[in-house]
Amino acid sequence: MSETLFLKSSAMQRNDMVAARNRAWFAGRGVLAFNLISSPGAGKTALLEAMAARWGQTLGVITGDIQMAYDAERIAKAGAQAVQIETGGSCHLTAEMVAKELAAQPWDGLRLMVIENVGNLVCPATYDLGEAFKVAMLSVTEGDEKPAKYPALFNRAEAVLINKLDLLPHVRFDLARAEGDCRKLNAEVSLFRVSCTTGEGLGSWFDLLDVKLRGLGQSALGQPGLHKLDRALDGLKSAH
Amino acid sequence: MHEFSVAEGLAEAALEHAAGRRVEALTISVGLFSGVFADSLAFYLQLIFEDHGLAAPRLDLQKPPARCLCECGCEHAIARAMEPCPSCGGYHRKVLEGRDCMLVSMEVVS
Repeated sequence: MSETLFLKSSAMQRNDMVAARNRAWFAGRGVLAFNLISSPGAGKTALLEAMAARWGQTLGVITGDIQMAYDAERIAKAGAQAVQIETGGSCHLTAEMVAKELAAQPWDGLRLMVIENVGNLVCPATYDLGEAFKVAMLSVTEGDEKPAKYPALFNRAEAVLINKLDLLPHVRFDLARAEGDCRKLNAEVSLFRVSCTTGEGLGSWFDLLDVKLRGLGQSALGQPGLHKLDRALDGLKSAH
Repeated sequence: MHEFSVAEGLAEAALEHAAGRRVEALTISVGLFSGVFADSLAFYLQLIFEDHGLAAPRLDLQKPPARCLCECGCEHAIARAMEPCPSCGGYHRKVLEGRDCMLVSMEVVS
């Protein structure tokens, strides 16, 4: 006998369950966590070195790579708590991999956690790791069409950092186009022009994180709740 | 290549709901913002079923437009990621549906 079952079951169900547990872990400890996604070589680790100099041991980093622990070593040397996940070939981190590291380390005195994903603009966008928000990084040497080409990531990223601004005079990269496309994919995105080499623009990025960290202290749920559009839409829905 | 683990998630859900019955067909919806490539999903699903010693089910892979709610109040669907709101021409909107890859329904035979 043939039968049709109507399910609406998400392919990410298992991952999302673990992600929810990770989110509770962060909320329970008052830790602000974000998921940092970029292509290989965009400057994620250089950003984290700069952040380590600013936040020291209150910053924790879980960094994913296919192999080698170079990144964790660099970040620890710069002053943060850092642990390396070697995915052994996987092109993205999963909530399960992060959960394992949350349980395995003491993570004492943590306020801010960055999950540095495997360098890749495609796969990491799909996996919720339990972070409060996603951050995409794009360097000017990669080309200004990247947001348009990778909508899954740039639709989800709450902040986009355009890095290697010091190289802008040497490459063809239309900042207005890249930023315009980011806004078409997510109108409320926070955009930052930075150079992790010279430190240009990093101050504004640190300011945003400070605002979110303060918001976290005031919110029992551990959600910074900065999304203006969410509130506007909630208003719309209740008006209907 | 993350389509393999996405396919695993779908196959697992399908086999669980089938509870021993033969899975004849799967209807899967691949969201515009899911970041999932439907063709490789089909390839991996076939592989996973065969790996379990099961016949690969018929696949209906749907790519529905994403459903959005604009701040102008217009609920609309977009077939491409950077299509503006048809009512106000803007982009201040929230994606209501279109980020997920979902097993919508399946046909089982007992």
